[in-house]
Amino acid sequence: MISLLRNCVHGSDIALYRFCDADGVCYIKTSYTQNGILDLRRENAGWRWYVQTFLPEHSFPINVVETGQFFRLQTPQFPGKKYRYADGLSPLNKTAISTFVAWYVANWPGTRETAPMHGDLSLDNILFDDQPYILDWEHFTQLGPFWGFDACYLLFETMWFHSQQHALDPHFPFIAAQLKRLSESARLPAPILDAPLACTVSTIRDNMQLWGDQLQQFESKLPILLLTDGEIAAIDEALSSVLS
Amino acid sequence: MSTQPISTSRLDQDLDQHFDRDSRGIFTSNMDRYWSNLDKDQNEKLLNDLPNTSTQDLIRRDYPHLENIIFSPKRAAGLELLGLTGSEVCMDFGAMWGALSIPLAQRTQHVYSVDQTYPSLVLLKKRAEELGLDNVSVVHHDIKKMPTFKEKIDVAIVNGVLEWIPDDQSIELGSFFKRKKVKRYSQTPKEMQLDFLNQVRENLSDNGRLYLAIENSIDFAMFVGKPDPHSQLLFTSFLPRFLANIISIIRYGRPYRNWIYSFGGTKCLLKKAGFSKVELYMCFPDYRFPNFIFPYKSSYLKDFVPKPSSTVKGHLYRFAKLLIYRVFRMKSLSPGIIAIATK
Repeated sequence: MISLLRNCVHGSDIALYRFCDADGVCYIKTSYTQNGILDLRRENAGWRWYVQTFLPEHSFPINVVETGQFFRLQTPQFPGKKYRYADGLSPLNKTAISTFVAWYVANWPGTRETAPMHGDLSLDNILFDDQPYILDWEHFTQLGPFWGFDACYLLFETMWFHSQQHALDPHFPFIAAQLKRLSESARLPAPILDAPLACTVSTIRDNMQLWGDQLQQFESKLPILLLTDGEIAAIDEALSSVLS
Repeated sequence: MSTQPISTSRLDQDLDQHFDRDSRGIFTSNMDRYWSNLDKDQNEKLLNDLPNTSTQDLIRRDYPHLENIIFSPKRAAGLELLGLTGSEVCMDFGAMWGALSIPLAQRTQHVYSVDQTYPSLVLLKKRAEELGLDNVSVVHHDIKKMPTFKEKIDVAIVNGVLEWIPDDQSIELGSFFKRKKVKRYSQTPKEMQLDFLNQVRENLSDNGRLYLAIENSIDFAMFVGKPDPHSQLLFTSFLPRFLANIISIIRYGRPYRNWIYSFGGTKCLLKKAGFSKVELYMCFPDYRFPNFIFPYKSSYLKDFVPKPSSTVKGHLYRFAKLLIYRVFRMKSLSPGIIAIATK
């Protein structure tokens, strides 16, 4: 049985389906436009890198059909539980983020200068089971910005959702603790800790081409881009005082 | 799928026997029939302007309200239900500007796009050329009068067409709802639709599939004030046919002919037309630009999320949809139907 779950949202030209049969569940993405096909090629590369790097002992099939004017990507369903990003920095989400950051520090390759990048790492794209399983690789690149970028983005995006409904002050110690954990790996560039949110936002703005046309039209796809300079400065100041 | 690969050259030979080819390479029976959102003058201007600009630029400039209808990638979402392998030969009945013909050609072996409105086909053909698609053949003919070909097709598309089959006259949609002419028919709408579906089935290979997309006659919205999209009349889609006729005759001077059906009614119709297996799907908010499609047999509506609204009426409507579809799972009231019927 096949269901259409998402169809060309937020400026994307990609349709997402879930397919169930006797062999289990898989997900299918298709596109008929050049922009969508480019995104799916990137996603295919991201899935293959992720599965080969972190899940080599598993059998997670990835199938591709490409005609030049059409692209179809079939990916597996991962086990695990997904947490709601809209709940912001709830106790459950904080535990999930903490688990993820620990795993990221122990496993993610890269250097201060560059690392593979997921590009849209939110709680909506991670399933938690025996380990975190990561989905939706359409912004993947092998040569992303600094190591730690994706983890910082996850922290700040969840923080942004939390700020829409609640005060952030009680949660700065938690955010600072995750940043400190990343910095202890000695791969997070030192200047990040001086202005972590500003660095994350400016990294995105300086590298918009990594996210393609979609982000140019829909900045809300990475909601931390909606923060004003004043808000960013205030948050970084609060984090700095905790970090110091 | 047939056991032997279908030869498009043999199907072309079939078409050559029944049609002429004009200077544009379009198979044509030279009949003068018409169904379009545009009137004939608008279409003539479109034909004159087409050589000088790209199809999308032309539509965006002159008919921006049609741009999404013709070019939106959302429209092709239902094609994945067909389980296409890429080797299929397809026929799109009532292809118009190619909303489904073009994406189908991008992932299958060959597409024959059939329509009764010549200017629509010229635009479709140019779209295919702009994309470098050499696997689209265009046929200008009345889809109700298609011959039975020796070479059969794997996939037939009937997308937003079945409800117009019983209206056997030239239609310029803009003025269609003002006309008062009455044409007398010897067959009921259902009989005409069955004849058409039978003919489509005749041209399918063994295990060939029909993709049929149509509105649900008992869409919840029709009960709360949404007009029938084909007649623009209230309640006619689900009232007893004789009452719908009375309403239509009062309003337009002609009987109600654009019959649509419920999920059960659609399945019955297809079974009566000789299709052995029918899989039904629910489409939200409609089959033309679906955001969600779910198998009807599963009752799975957990992922359905109605569009947010900023008005009080919109909020109430959204709440009602959540209740009806997510809580009470009244799938028979879903707005759009896609049926995949196997010969």
